[in-house]
Amino acid sequence: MTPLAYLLADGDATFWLPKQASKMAVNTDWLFYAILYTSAFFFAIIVAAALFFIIKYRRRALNETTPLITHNTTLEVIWTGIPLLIVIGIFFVGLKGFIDLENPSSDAYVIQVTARQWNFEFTYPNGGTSDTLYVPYQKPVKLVLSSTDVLHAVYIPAFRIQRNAIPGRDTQIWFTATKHSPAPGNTPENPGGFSLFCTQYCGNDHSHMHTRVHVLDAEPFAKKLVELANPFKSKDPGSNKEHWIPYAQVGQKLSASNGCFQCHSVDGKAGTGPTWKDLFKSDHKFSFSDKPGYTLAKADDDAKWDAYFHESVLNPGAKIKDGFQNQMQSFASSFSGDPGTAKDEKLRAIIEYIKTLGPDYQGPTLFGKPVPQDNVTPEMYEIQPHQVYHPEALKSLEPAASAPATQDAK
Amino acid sequence: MSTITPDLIRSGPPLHGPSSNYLTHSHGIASWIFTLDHKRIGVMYLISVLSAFFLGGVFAIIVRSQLIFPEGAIFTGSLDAYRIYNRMFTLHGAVMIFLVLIPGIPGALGNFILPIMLGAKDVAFPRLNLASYYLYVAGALFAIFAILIGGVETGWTFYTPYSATTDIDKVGIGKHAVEIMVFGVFLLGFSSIFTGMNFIVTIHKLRPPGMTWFRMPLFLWSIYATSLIQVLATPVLGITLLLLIAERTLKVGIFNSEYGGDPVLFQHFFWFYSHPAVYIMILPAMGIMSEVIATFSRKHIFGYRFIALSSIAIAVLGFLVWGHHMFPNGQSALLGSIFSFLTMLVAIPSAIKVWNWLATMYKGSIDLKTPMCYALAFLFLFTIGGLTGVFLGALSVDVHLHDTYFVVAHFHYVMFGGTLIGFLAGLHYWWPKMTGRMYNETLGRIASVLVFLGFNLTFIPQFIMGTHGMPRRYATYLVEYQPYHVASTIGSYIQLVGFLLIASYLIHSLYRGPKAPNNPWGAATLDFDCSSPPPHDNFSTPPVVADPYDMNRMKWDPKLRGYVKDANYIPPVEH
Repeated sequence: MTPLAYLLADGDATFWLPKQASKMAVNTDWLFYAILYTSAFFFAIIVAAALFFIIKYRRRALNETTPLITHNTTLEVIWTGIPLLIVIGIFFVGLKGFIDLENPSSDAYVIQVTARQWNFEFTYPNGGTSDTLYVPYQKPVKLVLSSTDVLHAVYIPAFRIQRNAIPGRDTQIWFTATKHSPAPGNTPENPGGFSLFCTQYCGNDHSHMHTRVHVLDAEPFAKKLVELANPFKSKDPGSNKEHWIPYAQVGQKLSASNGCFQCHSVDGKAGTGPTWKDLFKSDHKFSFSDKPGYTLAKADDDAKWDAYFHESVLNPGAKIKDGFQNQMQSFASSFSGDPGTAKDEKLRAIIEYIKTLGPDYQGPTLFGKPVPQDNVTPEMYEIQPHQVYHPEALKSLEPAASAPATQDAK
Repeated sequence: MSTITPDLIRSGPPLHGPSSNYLTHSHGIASWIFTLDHKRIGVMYLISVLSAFFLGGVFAIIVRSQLIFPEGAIFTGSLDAYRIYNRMFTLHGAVMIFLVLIPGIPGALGNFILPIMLGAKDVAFPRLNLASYYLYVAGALFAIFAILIGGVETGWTFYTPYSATTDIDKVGIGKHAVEIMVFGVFLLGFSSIFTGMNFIVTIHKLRPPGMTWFRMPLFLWSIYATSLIQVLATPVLGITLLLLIAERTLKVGIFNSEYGGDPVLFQHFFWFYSHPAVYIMILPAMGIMSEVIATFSRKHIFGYRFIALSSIAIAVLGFLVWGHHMFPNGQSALLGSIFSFLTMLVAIPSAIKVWNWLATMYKGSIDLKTPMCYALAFLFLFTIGGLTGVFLGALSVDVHLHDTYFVVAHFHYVMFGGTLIGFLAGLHYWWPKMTGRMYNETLGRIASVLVFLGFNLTFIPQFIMGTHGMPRRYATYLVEYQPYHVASTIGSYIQLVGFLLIASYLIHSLYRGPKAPNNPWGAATLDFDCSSPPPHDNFSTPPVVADPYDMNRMKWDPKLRGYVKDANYIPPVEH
C-alpha cells in the first residue's frame, strides 16, 4: 500500500502501525512510510547486489586473478551525495512534525497528568480526577506532565505522541483526537479506549503502568467531567435522579485511581505495602514509630484506627509496620484538607473501604452509631450527611467533636 | 561451493615456521598471569569476554522466556517477581555492553592482531596492556559481586533519579549493589581508556618502515578511530558514575531532583559517553568487515581512503549526536533539531562503507567460508540496523517509536547484527592464527545460518510490535502483542542452538582440529605472514610491507594447504 492509500484508508491499523487517531499522526505516518519505502529500496539494492555478486563471482579456481579496481571517485561522490540529500530531506519533514508537536494550539484544553510509581492521575480543569484519560473529540488537548518520584513517560500510540514526565519540572505535549476510541465492553478484558503506556522505565511495576484513553463527543465528555468532579454523587441514567454513592464504594474507586492497589493487595497477597485484607482491627507491630510507645491493637476503638489510617496516607513514614519499608510517597496533595472538604472526605471514603476489608467491620457508622445493615440502599445515604460527601450539609449538621479525622498526626 | 577443504586431519610437526610459538614459549600459570605478550593478553581477554557473553546470553534467554506469556512465564504475580525480571534485563544489558561489546573486539582480537598486522613485536606499553586487562577483570568482579548480592534493577542506563534512590535491600550490603555495580563500570572505563591510549601510541610509533598511514590495513584504521573515542569519551562516563556514587552515598544534589539536582543532566552526561560508545562497539567490527570481505573476495578493497576516513568521520560525528536519545524528554525544539540533523549526517559514513564493501565484491573471486558468511550476515543485518536508525533520527517519527521495542530491535541489529556478528567473523577469521588449528568448516557455516535465521526471527517481530506501541522493559504486556513475543522467543532459542554449536566445534578444534597453515584464506596482510600460531616475538625477520589488499600475489600451495607468496608475482602499477 502506498502512503497515500494508507492515509485514505480512514486511519485503520495496518501491518506496520496502529490506528491513526490524531491530527499529528498524519505527518508522522507519512514520514514513517516515506522512510520505510526509501529504506526498502536501498536495502533491496544492497541485498540484490550482494546475492548477484556471490553467485556471479563465486570462486571457481583457487588462484583466480581478480582485476585491480581500487577506487572510483565519481561513484563515491554519487553514493555519498544521494543518501545525504535524502536524509536531509527526511530531517526537514521530521522537524516540521516535531515543531507542530512542540507548539500547542492556544485554545487547547488543559489536562494535568501526575505520574507516580505506578499510576497516572489525570486532573481536569473542573477539579475532577481519574485514572483513565478522557479527552474530547476533535478538540486540541494539552497534557501537562509532572512526576512525584522518578522519571515516567506518557505514550499514546494511536496519537503517535510521547513525552517524559520529569520530577521537579513540567513538560507538555498536545494532540487533537480525530477518531472515537473503541467503546468499553462488559468485561474487564475489554476496557475499550486506546492504550496509554508509561515508556520510561520506573521500577518494579513499570509494566503495569498503563491505562486507557477514551475519546468522547462533547456532550458525554461534559457529563463525564461532572461525574469525575464529584465521586460521591451519581445520576441514574433512566430517571436522571441524583443519589449518593456509599462511602466504601467511592473509597474502592479512589483507591484504584490513586494506584493504592499497586502496592496494597485486598486479597491477602504480599506486596510492597501491607495487604488491606484484615488490616483493620488486627494487632499491629511497628518497626518504626515517630511516637515511642505507640501501639495499635485489635481492641483499640475506631477513632484510633481512623487516626492511624489517616496518618498513614498523609505521612506514610510516621509509622512503619513490621516487615515493610518506608517506600510510600505522601498523598497529602490529594487528600489533606480540613474536615468537610472534598479532599478530606475522599480520604474518609478510602478509610471506610479499608475497614470493610477487616474481619471486625461492623458496617458504616453514623456519629459513632451503626447504620442498619439490612436493606441498605443508596438512598439511605442521602439523609446521612456524615456518610456522604456534602460539605454544606456537613457544616450545618456535623458536631465538630465527632470528626475522627481531626486526630490525625501532626 | 568451495574447492579448498582444509578439513583433512594431518599429523606431525608444523609444516613450517619456528617450532616454538607464543603458546609453547614458556610454561606454567605464572607465565600467563604475568605475561606481557599482547597475544597472551588477547587470549585472556578472549576467554573472559566469551565467559561474559555466556553470562549475558543466559540473562537474555531468561528475559525472552519470561515474555512468552502476557502475564509472564517465569516471574509472575507479584512486584517482587517483576523486580527479578527487571534485574534480568538490566544485567543482560550491562554485561553485554560493558563486558562483551566494548572490550570484545579491541581487547581480544585487537590485542592479538593489531601489533602483528602492523608489523610490530608488541604494543607500545605492554605493562599498561596487562594492567588494563586486570582492570577489566576487577571491573567484571565488581559487577559479578553486585549480581551475587542481589543485582541491580536500574536498567543498564542507570537513569536518575531512579538509580539514585533504588535499593535491592534497605539494609546490609544489598543497599550498596548499585554503587558496587557502578564502580565496576567505572573500572571498566579505565581499562578501556588504557587500551585506547596504548593502541594510539602503538599505531603512531611502532609502524615498521614502509607501513605508511595509507598502507595500514583498514582494521587498524578502525581500531585507531575507536581508540580516539575511548580516550576522549570514557572519562566523561567515569566522572558521571562517580557523581552518581557521590549522590547516593553523600546525598548531594546532582541528578536527583529531591536534593535539587537535575535528572536530565545525567542523561546528557551518560549519553555523551554512551553514544560514542556505540561507535566504540561498531567501528572495530567494520574494520573486520573490510579485511574479511577483501580476503574472501580475493580482491583489492574498493575505496580504501573513503573507508579509512569514514571511520574517522564516524568517530568525530559520533560525539555530536548524543541528544537524539532524549527527543521526547522535553528538551528544546532547537536542541532536538540540531541533534536530529547531526544524527542524519552520521548515517552517511556508514553508508559509504557498505557501498565500498559491495563494490569490493564486484568482479571478485568470492569464497563463502565461515568468516565470509558472517560478513554477509553483517552486511544484511547492519544495513537494517542503520536504516532503522533513520526512523529514530527523524524527530516526529521518534516521538512515536521512542522507548518501544522498535528501539530494542534497532540497537540489536546494530550491536548484535553488527558488532557481535563482526566479532564472530573476526573470531573465525583469526581462529587458525590464534590457536594454530582449523575448525570444522561445514559446522561453521551451519552455525552461521542458524544464528542469522534465529536472529531475524527474534528481532523482526520486535520492529513490528514496536511500531504498534509495545514499550520496552515490560515484564508483562497487553495480550495483543503476544504473537510477536512468541515468535521472538522462538528465534532466541534458535540462536541459542547456533551458539552452542559454535562453542562445541571451536572447543573441538582445539583438541582435534587439523593444524592450521600460516595463511589459510589468502589474506595479504602481515598477520598472515607469520606462522600459526605466531612465534613469541611475532616476526623473526623484519616484515616486508606491501599493499595489504593485493590478494593476487598470494598463491594456493596444495602441499601446505594454505596460501604462500607467489615469488614470480609482478605487482601491478598503481594508478
